[in-house]
Amino acid sequence: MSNNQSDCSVESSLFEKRKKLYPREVHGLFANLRILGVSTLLGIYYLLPWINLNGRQIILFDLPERKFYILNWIFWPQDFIYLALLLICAAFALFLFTALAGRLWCGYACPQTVWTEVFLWIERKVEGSRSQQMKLDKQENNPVKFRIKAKKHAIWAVFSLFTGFTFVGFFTPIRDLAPSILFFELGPWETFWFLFYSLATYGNAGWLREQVCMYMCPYARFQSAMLDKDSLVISYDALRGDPRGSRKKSDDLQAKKLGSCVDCTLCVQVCPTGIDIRDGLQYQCIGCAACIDVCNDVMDKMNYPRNLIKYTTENSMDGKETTFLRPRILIYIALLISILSGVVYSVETRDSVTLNILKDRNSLYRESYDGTINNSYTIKILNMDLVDHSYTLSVSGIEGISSSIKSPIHVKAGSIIEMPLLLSVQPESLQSASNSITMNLQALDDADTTTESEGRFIGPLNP
Amino acid sequence: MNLDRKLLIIGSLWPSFWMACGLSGIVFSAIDPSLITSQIGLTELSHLGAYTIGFFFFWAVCAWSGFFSIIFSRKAINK
Repeated sequence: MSNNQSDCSVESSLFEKRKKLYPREVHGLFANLRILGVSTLLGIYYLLPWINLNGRQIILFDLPERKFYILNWIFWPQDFIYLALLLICAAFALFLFTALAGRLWCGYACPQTVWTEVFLWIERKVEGSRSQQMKLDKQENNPVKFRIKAKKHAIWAVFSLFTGFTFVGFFTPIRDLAPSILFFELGPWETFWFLFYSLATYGNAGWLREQVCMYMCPYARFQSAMLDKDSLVISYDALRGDPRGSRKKSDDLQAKKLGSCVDCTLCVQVCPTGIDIRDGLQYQCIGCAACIDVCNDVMDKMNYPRNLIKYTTENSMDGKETTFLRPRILIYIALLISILSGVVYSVETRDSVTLNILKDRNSLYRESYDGTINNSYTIKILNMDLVDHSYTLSVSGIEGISSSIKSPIHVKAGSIIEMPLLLSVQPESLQSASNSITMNLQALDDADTTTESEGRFIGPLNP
Repeated sequence: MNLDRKLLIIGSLWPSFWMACGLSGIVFSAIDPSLITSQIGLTELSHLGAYTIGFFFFWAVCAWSGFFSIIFSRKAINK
């Protein structure tokens, strides 16, 4: 579909009042894979905040303390580069999987798909099958309809609230959060985010559903740039399927001049975005493969060969050979591996302590009564390690330089301390007005935990 | 709701939401938002409150910009 046609269809469909879709339940290989994907991802989302490692939550984005705890690592604001690199990795992974196998992300792992699947499952459990749901919606308002609808929305709301609670649990320790909610002691901002995320889940998965994929998702619009003739896409085999038409199982297809498609429209009924895959590849297709599963069922019942709708490539459809390991795939893999290994190496070898020196700007230097030249500083020591450390601070660069900090400096794990520092020098030791100095911070209990920082010591113009 | 209004709402709110997420990550990794809120007199505001206000501020600014981009681009197309 050309861009203009695509835009026109989006615009015209935006004009229309939304017709509610009732995706039919489907069983089969890809449905099972989707259930596996949904269960795994939701399991990770809901269970992860409850797992503790070394006495703290395994993943905790502690905004007040400005620290992110992920597994055994602590990330500080200055580590933002790692997050940026991880996002770049995620983007390359998306490009790679899309170039290889089409919209795997949309069909199996996107949060919109994952939560919509759960909401649809709840809807089926409460309102019944597709036809029962349609029948119920056509009814005039009555107590039975109200009771069923109220039950569905109540379950949706509880599930959304639990989702919102879990979301906040990634930012506030979840084991403290649970009693706070139960006893209505949640802070105002936690309450806000709890309700905001719950409402977003309820709205997106309960009401908007396929509209998010069709009108709001930017990925749907640029995915065509990542697909090529060797990418796996879901496609209807028109050569085999057409002409379509209903028939008896015993009918001779050649005599009736029919293809394999029985025109049962089940592929349209199971589609979560309501498209007809037989019309060709469309940007609304999220690649969930529900149409493949249901069509294979029909083919089995008719004793026809399977895969009238199947995962295939454009080259394969044209009778050409499909190449999986093509240059773009190799480039994506190389970039992904190099960035990811770089991030892991950099995180593993980063300094576990940092030392920042801030020179007092109020006075360049002070001369004391005995003639020594003094410079004052503020030093910040950040212990990024998971254990407490005691450090010694030594200063070099000027002969006889002495520091006001004598005793070991104790910094707790994952903490930052700020303290004043006064450096003193005899005037005859100064070579010039501005002298370079080096401060070395050394942990007493670990020879490898050390860092250095450069600074300036200012003296009189003619020392 | 007609097309214009629908596109205006989606077109200004949705991309700006993602911009606000990105901006919050970049800006707040460099600056603690509670330093800003305490400077403007909101000393009682918690850290989470400061982050929340910061996020919604970015969202509002980006949405405002998106809103006018759509309005002006449409006027230009109509001309």
